[in-house]
Amino acid sequence: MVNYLQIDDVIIAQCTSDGAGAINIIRLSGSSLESLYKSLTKIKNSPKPNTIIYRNIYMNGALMDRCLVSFFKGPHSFTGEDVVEINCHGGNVISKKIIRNIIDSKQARHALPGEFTFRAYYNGKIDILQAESINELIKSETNMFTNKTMENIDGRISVEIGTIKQSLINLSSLVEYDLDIDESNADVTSNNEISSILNKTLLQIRKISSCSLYSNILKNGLRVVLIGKPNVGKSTMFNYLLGFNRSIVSSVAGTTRDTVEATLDIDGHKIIFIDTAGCWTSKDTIEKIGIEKTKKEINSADIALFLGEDDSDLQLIEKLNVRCKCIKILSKSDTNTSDLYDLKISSLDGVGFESLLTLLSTEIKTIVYNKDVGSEYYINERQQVVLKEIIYKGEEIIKIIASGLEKDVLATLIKDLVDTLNEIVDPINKEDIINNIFSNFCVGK
Amino acid sequence: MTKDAKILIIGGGHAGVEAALAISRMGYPVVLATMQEDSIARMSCNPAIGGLAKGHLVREIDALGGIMGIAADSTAIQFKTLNKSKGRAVWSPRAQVDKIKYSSFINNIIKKDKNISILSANIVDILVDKSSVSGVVTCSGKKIYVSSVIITAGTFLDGKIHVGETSYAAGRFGEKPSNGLTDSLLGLGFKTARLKTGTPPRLLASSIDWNKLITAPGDKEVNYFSIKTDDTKSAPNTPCFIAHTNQYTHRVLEDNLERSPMYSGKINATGPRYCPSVEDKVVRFAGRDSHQLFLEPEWENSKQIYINGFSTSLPEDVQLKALRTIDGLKGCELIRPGYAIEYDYFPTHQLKSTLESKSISGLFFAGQMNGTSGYEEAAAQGLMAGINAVLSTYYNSTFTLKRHEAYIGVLIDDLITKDINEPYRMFTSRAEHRLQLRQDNADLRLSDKAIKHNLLGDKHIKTYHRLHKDYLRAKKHLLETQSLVDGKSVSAWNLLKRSGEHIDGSPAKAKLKNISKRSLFLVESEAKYEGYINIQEKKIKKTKEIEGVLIKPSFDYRRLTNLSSEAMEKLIKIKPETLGQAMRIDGVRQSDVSILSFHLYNKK
Repeated sequence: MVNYLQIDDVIIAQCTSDGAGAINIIRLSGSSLESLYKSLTKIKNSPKPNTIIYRNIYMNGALMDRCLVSFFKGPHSFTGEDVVEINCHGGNVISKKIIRNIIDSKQARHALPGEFTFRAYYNGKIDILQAESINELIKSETNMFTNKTMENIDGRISVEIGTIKQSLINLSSLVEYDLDIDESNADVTSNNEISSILNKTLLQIRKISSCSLYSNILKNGLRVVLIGKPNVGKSTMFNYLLGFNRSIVSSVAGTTRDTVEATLDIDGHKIIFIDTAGCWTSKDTIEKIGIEKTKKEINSADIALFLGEDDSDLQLIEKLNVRCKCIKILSKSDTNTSDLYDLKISSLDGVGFESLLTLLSTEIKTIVYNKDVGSEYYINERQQVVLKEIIYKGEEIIKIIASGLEKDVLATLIKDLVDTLNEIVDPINKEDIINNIFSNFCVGK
Repeated sequence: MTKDAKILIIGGGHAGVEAALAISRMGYPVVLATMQEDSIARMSCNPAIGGLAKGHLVREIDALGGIMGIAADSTAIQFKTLNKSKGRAVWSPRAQVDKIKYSSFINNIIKKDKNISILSANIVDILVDKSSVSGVVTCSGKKIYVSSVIITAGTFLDGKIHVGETSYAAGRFGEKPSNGLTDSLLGLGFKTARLKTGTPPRLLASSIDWNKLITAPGDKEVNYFSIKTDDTKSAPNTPCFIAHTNQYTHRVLEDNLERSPMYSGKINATGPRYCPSVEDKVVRFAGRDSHQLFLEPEWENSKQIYINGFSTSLPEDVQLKALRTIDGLKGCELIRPGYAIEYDYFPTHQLKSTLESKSISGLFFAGQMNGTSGYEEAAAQGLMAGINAVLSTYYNSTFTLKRHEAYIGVLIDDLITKDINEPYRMFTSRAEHRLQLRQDNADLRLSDKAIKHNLLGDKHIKTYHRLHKDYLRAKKHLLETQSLVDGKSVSAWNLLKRSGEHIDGSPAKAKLKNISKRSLFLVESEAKYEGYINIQEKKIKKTKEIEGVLIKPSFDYRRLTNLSSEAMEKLIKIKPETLGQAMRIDGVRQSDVSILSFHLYNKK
């Protein structure tokens, strides 16, 4: 079976997604692609590195397409190997034909998901955190997430981790000096000093780690659930918010029997709206399942939009045990009246939707930029776990220093801390990386 | 001379004698060639054995049956364990020894040993037949045919002594250098380079005003090096003395720097950073207005005093002038000046982890000529080279120690993978698994291996088995004895893990009456470190896995076109035996390791 470690092969894949489009890009990577380039283009001279030239592509003597072909010479390329990119005409036929022909002629094999990025990592062009960021960038649905993952590809966290690692190494040498060089029994660096240096370092780590909540929101989005009695106009509002018809809108109570989700980008954030079944006691079993689902959605929501028609409807909020931020909206305000609601809307003439969006945006910001948590970095779940482990270990060390830890053990624990930190950019178990990280990529990246 | 000896050792220093004795203990005859018979096991520098990390090496040498520990125990004038306030893993036993008694102690044993024959000769050539050693040639042209040669030439290869502006060829103070052998080795394709080391002046005891100095006695409770030494016997405790340099001393040294061969450029070799000359210290630590000096008698009632901390190659008159600025040394007289010695060493990437040459089979290198500094580092290598010479000559097998098993393993692995730019001395921080590699558990770590290779005498084996049995028994008692602490039942074993808790106050104390002091200390340490060691187990497991990935000598690194050029060059030059070694080579970056490891794992 083909695996990532077959690095001797030339790999090929289409980088653009299928379907109609002006162009498709085919990417090739391998240790030497000059002769392949020459045979594809029927050009006798070696290609000039880092150029893109209009060329005819031939296979078995026949013209396949007229393309823009670029050539990057390793190690100065994305993968660290020679890279050729063919910008051919779009559509589902030409690019497939070119790839098939190259594979059939045994000049390359089809790349595995993320294999180009794997080779970049393998060849030391990027660290593992940057590789992860590339995948996150591709899958990003919002502006904010795109910006943050771009920063990480540029090495923002890698650099921070490098600085923290250096300060831990410096601390380690202070301790080692006392153990190895100084023959008198006195300590040059006191345990108090060590604790205080360690505390400062932990502060830097906490600064990054505190962005966990923010990062999860950035990646997974905020969940806004629409609730209310049947037929109060939830689905109408849902569609209005989304700007297109998604839910089935009819005037028979209980039409939305299941939940319906849609994702919006509000101020650069990923916001998932969930339209739920109306909540009332129903003997209809399908309806019952719908209500159970609604309750589940409420539990995992960050914001609830409650839609009601009069004062008494509001009792439902307590009955449903809504614990997240709840915005009370009076629907059909052209006919209904009540003063107990946060705002009034009417889907009929669009009244109140602008203030709803403003209010929603304020609430989103309150949650995203929570004063108690950081919002400076994006860190994925794997990185969050490692950071938490470092903080735990660091706090343990400070605790046991206070209870009279001997220097030899301290030295070992600090070195272990450095190793743990290193896991973020260079994990020990490399086999796991391949399985967990690169296989989640799409083909062609 | 033993006619059937297949192994010959060149040099009778600390490496040479350990090699010879190991070969003999394994039951094989050996020839020990030395230029000067009466200088066997001579201590050419400080009158002490052990010290930071070096004490660990001595304990390991002892656990493998070596002579250094018992020799130091038997000829010491005082004992002191260093680093006692910093955790047991870095406790380092050190003994001030009587130099004369020390070498005669070993000499007597060597001379009585029927397997060892001493050859008084300067070896000038190595004979090689089809990449295998076939013998040696003495300076008188005599050929001796053997199948293995261990070279332990110390600082003698083209040795050159510098005192101020004068320099002359010498192997040691008052001894001729060995010329010719280097050329022979160069002819065989070996690379060589120069290193330097130094030694301080010796003062006349009667010229020192002892009342002005601080007394530095040894420990009352002694931690002997050797398991074979009866630890209930009382130990001698002859004091050393402490003096301090001052700003006047520093001024004299600074004013005369250009007369130091190091600073005037006469010596091009690199000296050790860790054991710097006094002129180096004054320049490098310009902010310090005083450095501590230890005045150590070279033997019992010695009239010759060693000035530890005052290693120098300045001219004799400057040495004297500087020393006379020091309180207590105002009227001091030199017996002989300090000097620097420059010598050939053979970069150790040319060796396998058995200390055998990669290119010529049967040729082993050990000791200071491998770029190390110190008696202990030399002895450890000599021991390992001796064992491996026997194994390769008679059994076609090898004996190596891993980095998590012994400091000796760390030492040799560092030598073959790191660039040695200055004399290499052992530090505990060089060991990744320091908490396991304690001086107190050296026997437990190594003696079973030693027994397997026939390295221990019957008495040693018996003593070791008693220690081991006592240790297991004590551990069992501690685990079984429960007591109530803060309302919870805690085993005496776990109780020991708390800081400040000792066996003396243990609830299991009554059951441990007949157990030796040594075993009790050991069991106490094992309890205290157990938790931390468990944390490291995961890493050791990973290390073992990496060490297990072998690289064939024929492996073609040029195929891995993405290796950095520096790594490529180093890997081709060093030809590491395992992935682990490859990782530790200087200049091999993380990305290079990835490339190599992915490749090797893939081919597995």
